Amino acid sequence: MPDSELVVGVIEGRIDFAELRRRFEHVVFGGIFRLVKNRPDAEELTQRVFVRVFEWLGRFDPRRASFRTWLYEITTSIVMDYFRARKRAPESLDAMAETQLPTVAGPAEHFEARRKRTELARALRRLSPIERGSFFGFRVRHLPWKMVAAELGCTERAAQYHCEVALRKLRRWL
Amino acid sequence: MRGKLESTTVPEKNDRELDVFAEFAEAERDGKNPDIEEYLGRVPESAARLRPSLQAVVEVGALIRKLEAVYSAEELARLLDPSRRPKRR
Repeated sequence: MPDSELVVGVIEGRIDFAELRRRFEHVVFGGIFRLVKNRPDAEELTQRVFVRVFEWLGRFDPRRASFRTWLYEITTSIVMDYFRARKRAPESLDAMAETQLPTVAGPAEHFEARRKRTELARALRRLSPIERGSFFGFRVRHLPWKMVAAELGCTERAAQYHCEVALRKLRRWL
Repeated sequence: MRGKLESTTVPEKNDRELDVFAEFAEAERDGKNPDIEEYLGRVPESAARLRPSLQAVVEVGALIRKLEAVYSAEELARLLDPSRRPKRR
């Protein structure tokens, strides 16, 4: 059964939540264990993840993200809280990335992606509005130059220029 | 804001350089793995000025690509949306 059917079944009460937990528990536990390197803590955090999934399942919106992405966001959030509480970071995110799951990004990859995404978002906020808009429209939203320019109310040439400036700044800051 | 943006001038790089930059950036974004030297060869007189820009395209593009491997395009755009306010702690 595809993930989406399983999740919808659980939300609608046709399928037991334990089925969903069975499908994803090993992935969540494995990812957390690689991060915390401690079995009792990994088990405890895995439990917290599924408690939160159970409580928040009604908020899951399949139009915004796949269930796996949503699950990994929750996992990442719980693991980050764990490290924050201990005021230390995981020893090697790169090492964890090397052991990623073969088919889908696991919690370790999402943790690293989240860190990079946060850095990028912070750097984007340092750009001027037109630099940010040019870069965001062109590179993140994949809009053609003409549309980027139209949204910003400037010429295509100006959009290209400001995107170029934005890229050089981002390269320096990231 | 809009009036301010419309009045923006385009100093520093000339039209030819921006043409090369824009074409290179599109090729990178579209996953065509463009060759920096080939593009710089189109404007040899500006190669030294343009090289950092094309390198920035490649390096920042690689970061975006890594994020795109984890997040869907829509999700990434939503998460990085400049109008989205950072969380308060």
